[in-house]
Amino acid sequence: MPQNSGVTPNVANTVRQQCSGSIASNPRSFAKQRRYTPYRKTPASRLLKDGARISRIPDDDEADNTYLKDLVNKTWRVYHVSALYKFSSQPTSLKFYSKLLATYIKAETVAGQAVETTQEAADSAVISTIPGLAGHSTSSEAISIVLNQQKKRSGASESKFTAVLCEVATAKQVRKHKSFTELPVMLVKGPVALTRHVHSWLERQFDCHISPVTFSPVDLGWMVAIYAGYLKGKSPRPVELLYKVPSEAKGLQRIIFDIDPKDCKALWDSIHAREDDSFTEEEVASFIRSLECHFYHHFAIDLSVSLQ
Amino acid sequence: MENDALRKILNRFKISDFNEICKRWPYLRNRKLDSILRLKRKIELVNRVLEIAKKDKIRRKDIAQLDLIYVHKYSKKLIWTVFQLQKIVDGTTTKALQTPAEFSSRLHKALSLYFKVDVCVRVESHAFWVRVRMCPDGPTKAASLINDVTYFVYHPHAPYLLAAKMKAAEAEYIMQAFVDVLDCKEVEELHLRGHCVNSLGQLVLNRHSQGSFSQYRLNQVDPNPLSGRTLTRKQDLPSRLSDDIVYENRQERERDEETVAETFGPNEQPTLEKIEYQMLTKFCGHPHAPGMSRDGPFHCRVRFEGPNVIEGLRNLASAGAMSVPLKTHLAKIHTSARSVFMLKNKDRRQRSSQTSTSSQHTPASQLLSQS
Repeated sequence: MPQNSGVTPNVANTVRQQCSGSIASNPRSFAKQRRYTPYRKTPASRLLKDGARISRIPDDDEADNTYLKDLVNKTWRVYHVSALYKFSSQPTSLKFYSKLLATYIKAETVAGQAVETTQEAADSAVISTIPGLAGHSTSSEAISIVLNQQKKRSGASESKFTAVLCEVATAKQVRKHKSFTELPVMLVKGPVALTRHVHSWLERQFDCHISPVTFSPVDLGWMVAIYAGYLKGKSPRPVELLYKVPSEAKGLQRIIFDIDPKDCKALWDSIHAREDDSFTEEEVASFIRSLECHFYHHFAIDLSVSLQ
Repeated sequence: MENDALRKILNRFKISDFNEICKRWPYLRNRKLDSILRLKRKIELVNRVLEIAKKDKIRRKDIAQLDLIYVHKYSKKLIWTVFQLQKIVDGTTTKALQTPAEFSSRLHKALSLYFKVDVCVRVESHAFWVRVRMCPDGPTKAASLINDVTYFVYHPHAPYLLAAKMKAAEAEYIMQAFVDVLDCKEVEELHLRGHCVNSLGQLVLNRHSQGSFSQYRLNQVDPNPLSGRTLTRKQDLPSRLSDDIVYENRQERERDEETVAETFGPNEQPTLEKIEYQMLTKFCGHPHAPGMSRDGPFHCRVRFEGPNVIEGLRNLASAGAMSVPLKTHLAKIHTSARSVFMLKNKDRRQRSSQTSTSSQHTPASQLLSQS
């Protein structure tokens, strides 16, 4: 991430203590720099109390990667969850929540059987923490919700639904309220009916709101550009761009544009210098536009247009 | 075991289909069926048929017939691949006229050289619908009565064969058996797949009368052209948003619309659900990425998906999202009898030694222009 070059006045004190550069070692130089500027010392009434200074959190280098294997190579649906009220990650309370969820799901499936004849039911729920996924040591741990169903003949239970609630690693630490838990990102893999049930249970139980996350084409463009230069493994999968078609074209639903990963990397390398860590918007825009230009040359369809 | 398989097949049908089943299925055709037709719920209907089956000892042949009725009615649920039969030229096609029974027994004999099979043939809408079930080596289970099955559609006298759910390992042997039975030189798989049997047949049999030529085939040509009636598709230029919107480029849009109408014709396009282009051409996005190397192919693949892709492309063109003049490989999809294309740059060094590529057997259709 690009380093912040400017410092706000109320952080100047902490920065002076933490950094060992030549500028900060001489306290007079700060005053010299601040002469003839509108910046003055912060009045006492505005200083943050309880020592809660907004500070940079050091990156956790010893991240545990074993649990990432369960999350990788799967298709997830992403939802945004607002703060959970009175959620505790103690093992006893998690067990209690699991039982509540299992009974709720059973009640819902029984209630829905008169109308729908779906076979999406679950017998038991397991709510547990995933130790390796917390971004920082002070933040709350990630939670996993797994719904199992026992197979009739073999008696073994198979997982029908998996959800992972986790935090986002941000540069700044948001001040937390005691009774609220922030686990904003929810990754879900499972059938639609079970997803709906789990969402309604979470909303009822913890007074939160769950909404699906939509990525704009600009965001998706950034994602493609960031991962385009990263080739790993013997047979990497192609880069797939999915375009939805305007409703005037009845009969055609979508256009899928797959690009060979090596050629994609070559294109990205030609636009963006390899050593540079920061990506600019112009680079991302040129990358996507060059791919769309290549497509236009062959099919005379402009992929960036949206018909109204 | 037969009852389990019968129950599964019956459950696939809808309640409204049971009337039809009673008329078309030979097993039920000659019975008094008031007791069945009175019932309203599917479970009751299925149980009633199973009772009859128990009393009367249903055979595997009858189950196969019912399965074929289902496949004929819901053929859109399977993916059909088209094969072309290269016929023997000397004209001794004595095997062309075959009754379903003859065809069935010949096919059974030919396939028995390689596998143990059960063959069932029905005539539906002027074609032979064939169901081939591979019998497993050990004792038969209920699941194998339904699962290890391949379906074929053969229109007599047409040099094409459609197949669904054929396993790759068995394909070679099955096609060899068909070569014997249908008296042809060899069977070639076309790059054409789809869900709709009728559309696939149209694309392949009426290759050269698609698009604007379809009006001749379907007798839509006005015998009195001076009467002033226009038979092209009515396409106003409405605005979705408001009636007050006026198009400033009306003439251009009308001109483009004429080109599109001429290319695609006034009639409904045959249904293809997925069209794929494998692109091995050079990279063409240099205005935005000048640093990209100009040699070497830029491998990518484009898929168009939807309920009726050719119609969708036509609508896209008339809506203005696809620039006119249309690219040939998009405009001529209905004439090419393929759903998988390969685009390559023309090799200028070999241009003088190449013959014209209009035959059906070329594996790639080449890009025509490279501006």
